Amino acid sequence: MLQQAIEAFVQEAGEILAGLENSILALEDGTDPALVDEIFRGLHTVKGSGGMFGYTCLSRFTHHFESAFDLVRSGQLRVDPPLIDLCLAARDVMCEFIALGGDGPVSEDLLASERIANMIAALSALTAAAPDAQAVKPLVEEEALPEPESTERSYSIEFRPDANALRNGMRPDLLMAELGELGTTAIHYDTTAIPRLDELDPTEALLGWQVTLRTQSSRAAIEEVFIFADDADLVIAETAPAPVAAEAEAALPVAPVPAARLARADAPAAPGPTPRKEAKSDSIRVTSSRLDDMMDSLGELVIAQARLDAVAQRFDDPALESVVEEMARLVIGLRDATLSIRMLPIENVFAKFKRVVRDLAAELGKEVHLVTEGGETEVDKNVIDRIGDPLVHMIRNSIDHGLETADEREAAGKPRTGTVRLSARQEGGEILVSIEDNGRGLNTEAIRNRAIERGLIAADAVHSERELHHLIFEPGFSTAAVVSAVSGRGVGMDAVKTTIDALGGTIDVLSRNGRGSRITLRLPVTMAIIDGLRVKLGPQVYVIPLSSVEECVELGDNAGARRSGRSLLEIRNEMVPFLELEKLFCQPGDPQARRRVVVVRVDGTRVGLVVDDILGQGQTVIKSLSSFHSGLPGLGGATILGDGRVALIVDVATLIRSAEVPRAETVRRVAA
Amino acid sequence: MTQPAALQSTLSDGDGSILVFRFDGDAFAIGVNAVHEILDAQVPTPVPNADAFVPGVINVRGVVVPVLDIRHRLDIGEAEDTSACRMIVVEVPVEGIPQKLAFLADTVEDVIDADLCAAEKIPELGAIWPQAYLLGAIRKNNELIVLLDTSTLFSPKAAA
Amino acid sequence: MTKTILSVDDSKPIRDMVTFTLEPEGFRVVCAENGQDGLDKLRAERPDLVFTDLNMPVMDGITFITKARAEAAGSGIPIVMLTTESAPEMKEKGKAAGATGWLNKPFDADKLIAVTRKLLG
Repeated sequence: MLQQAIEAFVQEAGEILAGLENSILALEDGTDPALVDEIFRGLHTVKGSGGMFGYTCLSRFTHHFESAFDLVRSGQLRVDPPLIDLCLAARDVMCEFIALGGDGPVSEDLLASERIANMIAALSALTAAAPDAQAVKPLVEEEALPEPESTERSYSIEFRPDANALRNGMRPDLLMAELGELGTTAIHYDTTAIPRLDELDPTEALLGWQVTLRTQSSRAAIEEVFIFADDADLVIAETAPAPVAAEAEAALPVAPVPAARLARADAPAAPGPTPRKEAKSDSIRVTSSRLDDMMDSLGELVIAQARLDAVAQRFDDPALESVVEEMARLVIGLRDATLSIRMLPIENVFAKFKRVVRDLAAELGKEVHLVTEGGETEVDKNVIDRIGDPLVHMIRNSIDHGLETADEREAAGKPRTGTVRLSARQEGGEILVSIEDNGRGLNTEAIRNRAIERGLIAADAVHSERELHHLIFEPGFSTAAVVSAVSGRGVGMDAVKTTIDALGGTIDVLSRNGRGSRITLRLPVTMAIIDGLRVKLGPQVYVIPLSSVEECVELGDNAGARRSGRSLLEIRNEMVPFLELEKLFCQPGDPQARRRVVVVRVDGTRVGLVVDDILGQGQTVIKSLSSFHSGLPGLGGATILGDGRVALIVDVATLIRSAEVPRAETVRRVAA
Repeated sequence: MTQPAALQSTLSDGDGSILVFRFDGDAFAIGVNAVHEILDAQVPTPVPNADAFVPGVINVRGVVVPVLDIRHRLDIGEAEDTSACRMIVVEVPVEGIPQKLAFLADTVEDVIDADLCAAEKIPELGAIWPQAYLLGAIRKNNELIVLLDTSTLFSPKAAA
Repeated sequence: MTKTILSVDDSKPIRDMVTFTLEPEGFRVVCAENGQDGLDKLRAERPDLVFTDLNMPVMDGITFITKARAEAAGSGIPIVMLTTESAPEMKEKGKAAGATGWLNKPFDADKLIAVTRKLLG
């Protein structure tokens, strides 16, 4: 319970803080009261629960933030850029407290540090400076809105507690005293239920109360007094309209409510919940590890299903077959449902960038406008978790190296404000995420010179622009210092590529000199289960992800044409290079085999892979390879076949690239 | 060479139970608490272009487990007949993360309680196996049982 | 006279929160880690008000409330259960077992004080 509650709190606080950042940034576009309320609620919740779950330092800090922000809510403090800066900084401090993992000397030190003290002082200064801050600040909860003064009303309240009420700790005297605080009361007792003294159980609640209350408080406030007496007979009736009641209120029901037990759930106190809240109550929150567990179990189920399928084929029993088919259908349904639970809108990642862009633009003195599109595109949680950093990297590069300064832009006849466009969309089984800027574009010549200098290409080699642009992802291409000097991109771009490769994705670059550039990431929608094509090579089975397969053809006598060391295959008048999997994998094939070609598409080019035979396609649960085997070219993981054997999953992109490495090395040697 | 006290803590947390297995008749042992289970030999799926030390993977109850070639690491030649071999599945930390690994042994004998305090050093010159993977040796029924160091033996990087 | 409050909860942060919130308000707070512990403390400390969690190891809150009501020390005193919005049926069960009122988690210090004042005057 303890740990779970704290974890839940940390998770909730994390979500609130992520939301806060966006909401605060959104204040730049205008002070929408709903937005202000949302920020205030977020702060209030963190302050409140922080104290409950061992984050009192956070809670104490947040208190100052909340107090200051309350002034914004009450309209006493105007939102301006310095205030937004302060709010963002305060929000970051809250993150720091969360990161410290709760109270302790470190948190105390942080709270007492000069930096935080200064910030608290700045926040408190706002509170102190506000006119009549203390006086105007509502002292009651927001839902207990004070009624206009003229509406003093008279209520008749009949209250008969449950017989067990006294034994169960109810104190009717306190309730009456509370009523007395709302206004003037006249109390009568109903003693009719009290028996003769010798039959009296003094612990039984037998008395009834009849109260006339004159008050300015609302019905909700009266109901609040009796909140815990929900098992009592309670009738609250307005007996006489207020003398100066507004006309609109004449429409309010004046007749007594029916004498029934007051149902707390539909007490008409608060205004209806906001749509956002409704959406929340429709969803449940689970820790992602439970989703991972579920995914693992599902993976096992898919494997067991494949095994069942294999076994059933040995029996030729129509009844068994129909059950197996039914099972297969259900498993696919369950798989899709489970995968869809793990899907999150990519907006969650995009949201981070508003801040990155704002901070970086300020730091570099550039004017940058960030446009995001397709934030609603859903991507598997595992993918979302891992593309954040590469995207930040690329956006930094776009702003740092791609976009010119405002003056440079003006001189080039462009608008002073540069634009970075971040967009996402789904295309088949892939998500396309692109980062586009209207800056100066990649400097192709600088890249070529740099690549020659680094021995990546030969000085006299002829390369297309596209090939040259792709060099920025080569590990040896750049260091930060060099890249700034040549005004290209590449700070850690090889790291970006590594991450995208690991996700089974690809990167494409498009650049126009002086007009800008666009980097597009193609990512798989999900990483846990893929549709795969099972192929045979010798005694082994390999799985090729169906998403990269274009078609399968017979090798037959078609092949033979060899040009520049590569074998070519003619498919419908198109020459397609092909590679033999047995050579790439150094695994002997079956010399008697039919030899078939799986045509895959990598980085926009078609390549054939020669295998012994094609076995079929099906769902493939991806199991990652251990550290002993990670990073081997051409392998994207492993899966377990229906017969219990392990089959390796082919990573087409790294496989093809590895096949090209020897050539690159030759080139390099020549260059040296 | 490792002292007996350190040796005991490397092998197990206090009890001296070790699992004894053989390569070409020679007896080797590892601490029993690293051992996950012992299976009949199965043919691993070869991993293309993998290091000779980790040539393949097998399926152990739905987990893809790398199969290590301990003979290769100990510089023992290839086994002539693997049909009677047993697969020992261990769970050891690899780069800090607990992982299941498997390796073939010619035969697997009992788990025995060894008096680890009586463990002897293996003379630098007398050993035919690389020192880096050895902790020491104990004597049992007039036979020498070589204790292997699981921290180096199962490491992805070969010891220098 | 200083009034005594018993906080029965297996979660230390919650017990701490009750303690740190109500002690400055002039109450004495004693804590128990589960229902069984709560019953022992109830007899020994004679609290004026009890806050109890419902989901606890050893003895859950509903059982605790039922047993407490059968005790001399537990009869007639306010017992407040800590409930969550996600399990409204627990509120009904708790009321049936003899709880005086409830407090929805998460709650803040203000709510805790308000409920205490409401029930103790």
